[in-house]
Amino acid sequence: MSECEVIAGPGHDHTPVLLVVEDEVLIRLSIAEPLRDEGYTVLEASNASEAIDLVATGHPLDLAITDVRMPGGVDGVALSHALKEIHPALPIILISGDMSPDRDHPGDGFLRKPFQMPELTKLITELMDPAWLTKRQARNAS
Amino acid sequence: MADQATSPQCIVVVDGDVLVRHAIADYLRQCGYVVIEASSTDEAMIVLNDESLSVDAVLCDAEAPGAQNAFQFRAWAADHRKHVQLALAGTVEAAAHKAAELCDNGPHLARPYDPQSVIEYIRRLLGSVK
Repeated sequence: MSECEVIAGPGHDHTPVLLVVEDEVLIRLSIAEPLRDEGYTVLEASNASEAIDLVATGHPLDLAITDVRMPGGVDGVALSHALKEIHPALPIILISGDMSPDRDHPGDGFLRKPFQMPELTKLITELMDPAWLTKRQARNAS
Repeated sequence: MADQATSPQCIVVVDGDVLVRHAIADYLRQCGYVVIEASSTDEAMIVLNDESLSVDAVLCDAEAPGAQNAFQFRAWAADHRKHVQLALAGTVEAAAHKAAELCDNGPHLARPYDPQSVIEYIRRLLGSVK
């Protein structure tokens, strides 16, 4: 983990911060709002450029969820690489309706659209589990 | 705070600058509103046209990207017989004039936003439809 990395991390008083990157406003809303209802703080970005702008502010971040196919020159896979450059330990979930299962990506989880919110919240909980973070940081260090 | 006795009022925040949009949306959520973020006027129109969503107000940067413009929000509201309040924000004089023509209640909002001014404006705007 680099010195400048800001990972909020789980804790009793901490509200986990999630970044949702999705170019279709109604899909973005249908993901972000239920997550807010679950108690998460949610940052919304409509494309990769906005996501990078948000992350560049140094806002604490626990996990990112990104669509794969998005307008502009940077898709969700490329964005994931960029986010991992900034936050190597940041868990990332990729969501896509058409990404080939063979495509290599740096994400920690993948959900095929359309998915049910319980599937997403389950994956988020798994990826943000403190044991998972410890295991992942150890893997990054080795 | 928004009236908690009834369902929270819903505001669409339209701004092409994600940092500005996030800051004001976050503040409005803390004040008790449901906030839908739109990065362009086109996204805002998609939201307005979704039958499952009930929007009470649109807070729009007068220079937000998109093919739609604030006049079309007003026309949409008239066409659909919806009482959606419109608040425009702008940084330049032209935007201020446009806002003054379109807004129902008083002056436009200066952008970058002063959160306190925005919440007072929104409360006045939404209070007027109750």
